[in-house]
Amino acid sequence: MPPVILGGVIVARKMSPKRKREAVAGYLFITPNLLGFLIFQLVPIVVAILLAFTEWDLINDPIWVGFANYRNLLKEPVFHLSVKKTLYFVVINVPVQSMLALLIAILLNRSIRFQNLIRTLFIVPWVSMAVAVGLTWTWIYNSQFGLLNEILTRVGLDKIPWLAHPDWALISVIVVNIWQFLGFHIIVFLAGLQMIPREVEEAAIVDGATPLTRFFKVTLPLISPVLFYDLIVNVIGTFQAFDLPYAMTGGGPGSATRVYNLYLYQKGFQFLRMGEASAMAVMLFIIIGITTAFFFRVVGRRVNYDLT
Amino acid sequence: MSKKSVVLFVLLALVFVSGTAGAEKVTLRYMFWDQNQQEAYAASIDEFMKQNPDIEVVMELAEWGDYWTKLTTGMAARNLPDVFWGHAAYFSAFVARGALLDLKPLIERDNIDTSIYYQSLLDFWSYEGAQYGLAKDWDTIAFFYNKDLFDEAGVPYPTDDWSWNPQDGGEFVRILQQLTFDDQGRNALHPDFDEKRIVQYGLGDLAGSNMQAGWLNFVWMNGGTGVLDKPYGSKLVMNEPECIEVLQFWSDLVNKYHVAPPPEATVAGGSPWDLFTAEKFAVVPQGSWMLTAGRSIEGFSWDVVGMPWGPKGRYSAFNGLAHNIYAHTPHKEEAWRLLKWLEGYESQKIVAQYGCVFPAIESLVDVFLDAYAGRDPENVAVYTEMAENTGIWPMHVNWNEIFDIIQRELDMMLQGFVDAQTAVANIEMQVSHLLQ
Repeated sequence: MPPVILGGVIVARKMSPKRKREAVAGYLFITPNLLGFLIFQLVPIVVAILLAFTEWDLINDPIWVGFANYRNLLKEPVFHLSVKKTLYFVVINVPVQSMLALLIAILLNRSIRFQNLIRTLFIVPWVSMAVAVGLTWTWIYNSQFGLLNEILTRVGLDKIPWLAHPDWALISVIVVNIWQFLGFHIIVFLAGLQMIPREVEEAAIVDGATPLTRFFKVTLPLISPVLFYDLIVNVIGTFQAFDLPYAMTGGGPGSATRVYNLYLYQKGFQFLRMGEASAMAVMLFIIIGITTAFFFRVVGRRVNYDLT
Repeated sequence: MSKKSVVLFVLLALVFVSGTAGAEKVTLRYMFWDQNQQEAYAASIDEFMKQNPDIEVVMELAEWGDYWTKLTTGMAARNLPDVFWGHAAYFSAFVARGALLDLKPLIERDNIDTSIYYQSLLDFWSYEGAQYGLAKDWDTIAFFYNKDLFDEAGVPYPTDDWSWNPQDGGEFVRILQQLTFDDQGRNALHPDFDEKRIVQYGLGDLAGSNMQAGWLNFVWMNGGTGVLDKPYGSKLVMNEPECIEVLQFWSDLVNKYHVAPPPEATVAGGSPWDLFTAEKFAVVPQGSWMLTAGRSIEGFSWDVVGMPWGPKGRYSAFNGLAHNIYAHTPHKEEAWRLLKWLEGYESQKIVAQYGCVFPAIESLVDVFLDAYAGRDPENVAVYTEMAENTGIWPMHVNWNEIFDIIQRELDMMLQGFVDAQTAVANIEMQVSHLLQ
């Protein structure tokens, strides 16, 4: 991809009146979005960074405490636990979800029967409300009265404590998360796959490449920018997982599924420690920043931007 | 004038007129969480607005699950309802942070007779010499039971003198065992009973979070103090042997006697109430506030029975709600007038007639009971008997955080991963810094 409109500034100096009008119109068009971003995103971000240095119970005025929130958090076992749970969530969720989505996208990219129906079926969970999805799954997972265990006992197997056992609960939530957002990743990959010029594929076939070789030598390099984009988006999104653990387990049993953002929410709104919650938000921002930078350095270099 | 400007003029005039008329009228926002009581309070508030034409009250329903988050975010935004329902479990966190209006000067100024209320209800709302509420209602705990499931199992209905003990469970556990069945129709006393294939439980709702209707009552009945040594105390007393013994018994109900499901089964997926009405549980402990919900039960007949007697007698949580006023409301005087009305005799009488919650004024209890004449549950008056003995209800400025720890650790115990001793040790370790 060529460098984007960085040259726009230089061009701007010698703009013709027509272009100027166009530019003004352009800025007018993005104004609502820009205002929305400034008011609902940038301002809260700045406020959160400031609040992280205060003790604030939501009721009285914030009190400046310097780095005390950060120091306290780093000493807290539950905080460390929530970091661990979230890392586990990311490490399992991202590769499995993205690879599965890629596989399904490749299958869906061919002309098969009921293609649209199947695509829709994958997308429905993604556009459903996470809380509704979560509650439905708690019914399915319910250890005593749930559908899954009903099936297991019917075929003579023992019940599995899906959400009841600390060793099972997090992975059970992750499975739902993978399933729910699969549709989004499939769309991303489908878009990528459809950008591959047909001639390239055909040339590979003429050259006698096996399907497997075609996938690794042609398809994969050509969609690597899309794959890279999807991984980054997935990592960022998964670090912020909240709805499903909140709706399905409330972080339990014990603290088995208390992921980072769930603990952050509890700190702020349940325990009335908004300063510490803000400090957690800032730290998550840094963690995500470092992870993304790492991805850009390590994976980003292998991405092939030439043919797309 | 053109047609357009005439229209505009009339519109402006209308806005002006209604604007000046509205200026004299104060609008109060009133927030509450229980839909079951909406009708009763709407009736009371209508009457209030008739008597106070200068005040308009807007009722805002927020379900229990969202209610406290809405209140806290409202406080942060300085945009709170003027009058709202308070609960003992959340009161301490709010009052200690100055969110509520002290009513004491107003009570004294207007010579409010507080002797008509139960004293222990008033005590809930006092903190450091100030008074933050009067009393809206009260509630106690008893057991709802499904008569049909008792009949099917051939078990006689529980009588008001039934009993339990932490050693072998006593009569209480024997009855529950006969009401717990596996998928082959064998009850929990059958030698081939398969605890991995249970389809119906004797008892429901044993989650760690169910302190009010659950384990705390049993701790008191075994002679334990409770959770904290005194209201706003700084000492955790869950390590008393009487308490640990009960918590272990509570865990045994799930893991040894298999008469109750683990908490996950009633937290993830089905609420204990849903499972009771779906006839998966024969018996559930319920607060008297659930009586209204019980009216919509169809398909089986039910009744209530008092708590089973423990080694040290019979105890129940005795809680109540009150209306609180937001400390920074711009309409203090009007909010106080509304609160005075709502907690007063006339309004409590209107509400009592709907039979949804026991009125906080003793002399009105019979009005409430009359609302149940000739309908289920027959034994509703048992809730008034349960008000005789209660223990120390835990209050603390960090209660939300303390309770989060307690319920997580107790759930681990009820799921069978740790024993009561370990669970309490884990709780002690984590709450110590919050209690100082």
